[in-house]
Amino acid sequence: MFISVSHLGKDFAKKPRALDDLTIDLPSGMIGLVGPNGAGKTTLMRILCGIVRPSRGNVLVDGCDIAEARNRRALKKSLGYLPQDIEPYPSLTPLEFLDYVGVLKGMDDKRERKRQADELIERVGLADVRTRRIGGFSGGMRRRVGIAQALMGDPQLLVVDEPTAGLDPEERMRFRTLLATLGRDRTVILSTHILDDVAQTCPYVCVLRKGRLRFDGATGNLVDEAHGRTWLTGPRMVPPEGAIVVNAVGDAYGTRYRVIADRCPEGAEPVAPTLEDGYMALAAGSADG
Amino acid sequence: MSFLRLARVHTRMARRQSALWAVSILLTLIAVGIALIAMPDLAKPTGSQVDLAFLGQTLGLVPAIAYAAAFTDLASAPARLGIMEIEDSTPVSPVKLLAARVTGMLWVMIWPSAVALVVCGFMQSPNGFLSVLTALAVFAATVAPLAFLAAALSAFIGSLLPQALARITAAAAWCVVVCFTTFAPMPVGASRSKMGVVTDAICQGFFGCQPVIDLDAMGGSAAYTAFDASLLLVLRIALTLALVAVAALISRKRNFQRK
Repeated sequence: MFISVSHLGKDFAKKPRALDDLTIDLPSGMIGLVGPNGAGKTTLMRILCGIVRPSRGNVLVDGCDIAEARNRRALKKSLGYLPQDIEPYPSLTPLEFLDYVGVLKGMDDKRERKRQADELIERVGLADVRTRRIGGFSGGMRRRVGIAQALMGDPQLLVVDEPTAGLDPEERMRFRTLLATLGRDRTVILSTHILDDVAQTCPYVCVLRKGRLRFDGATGNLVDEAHGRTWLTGPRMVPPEGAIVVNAVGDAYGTRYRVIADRCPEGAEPVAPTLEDGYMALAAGSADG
Repeated sequence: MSFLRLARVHTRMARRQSALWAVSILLTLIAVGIALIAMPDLAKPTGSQVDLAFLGQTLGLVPAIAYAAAFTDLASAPARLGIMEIEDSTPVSPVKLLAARVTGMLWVMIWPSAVALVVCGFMQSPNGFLSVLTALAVFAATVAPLAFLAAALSAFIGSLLPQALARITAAAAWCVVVCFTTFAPMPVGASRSKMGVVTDAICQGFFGCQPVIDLDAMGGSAAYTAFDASLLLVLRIALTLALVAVAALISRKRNFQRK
């Protein structure tokens, strides 16, 4: 599935320019969508899912403009969406909820809905509680129900917003593996604050800031933003002035700071940049918006 | 077909809220009690369709106050739960979905009324089942549309106001509508009738009843024909659908303005 976004803009009453002249071509496969809070990621995803209409611009999915109701309906039949905040109906069991979502997605065959629901329940590790009501689930378990419902109907476009929020490390690894498998033959747009998830699963990444596109391209190219500019300070050194602190690492000798700077701070050593470093370097470079 | 499947899911969810159908059974029994006192022949072979129609009116009036208070979060609950975004990302229209939600939940609440009418119809018919059919017609023409209208009004008010305030406002609004009988002068057919929420016009036109409230004293017309009753029923259904549609659209707009 090929998605082309052209001069997309969205204004809300209380937030003008939530998206501002966004133009991207999204390839098939796994795509990471990152940015600070309020960057416009969720707004972009809602527009791609046909939930919200843009104020300007258009979105073409495989050449079809989703501004037309017929095209939007067709897109929604092959779409799976996991919003950031979701509470499945508490009085339903996971199986019943997935069946409901299947009906919403236009799956008329009851047996097929049941087969997919059973398979997805297994995949997200909820087989033991398939007939228990969702109201009694933990936050992580409800999140997994949310992930399963996004996969109902075998969607060709999967849009997931913070999918691993609330999941424990083991669940996060399992979901990461699941996403990577899915990304082979469909388009998966993954919005997350956890850059490690993007680094592990997404060969392509888009960075939004204040409604505008700051970067789109191979994930390796984003890492290169910090190439030759990433340093690890010595223990008990204060972060140099003007340098961007990515994180602090404590060890037996004291605290070391991982920083982005054009020149090597005194006593610091160069380190190989990660996606986090590249993102911070990009964010600092475009801080003026 | 998908409408029925969606409604069935919401029926299942409503059925699991035991307080809902327990209250509806209680209110139905109260309405039946009122009707039996007013019409002693209601459940006897000497009873007539007029008695059944009156039972239908009380079943439409008494429990509907509870419907008006119970459905205020029908349009807003999915937004609150975060389900609305998932539902909006599917091909089903929000209006169809809300209608399925209303239907599914309402069916749990109005089946006791249907049972009460059918039982009374059965007891009026030792030698034939015409009165059972009449009971079903009363249910379809008076109880169900009135219940849907109360639920739709409740969902509409609930989409505008905070829940606690919405419940009180919706119940009060329903009582005002019932007590004053008419929404506004609406010329209907040759008799220039006014639309009556208490279903006087429909019961008069279809079943030959006398009005519960004396419309002559309020400046209304003296008699309603079957044609008037049909038009008023269609108007009522149209108003219900309009309230459902507006409630769905308002909830969607508020959901995406909030975030």
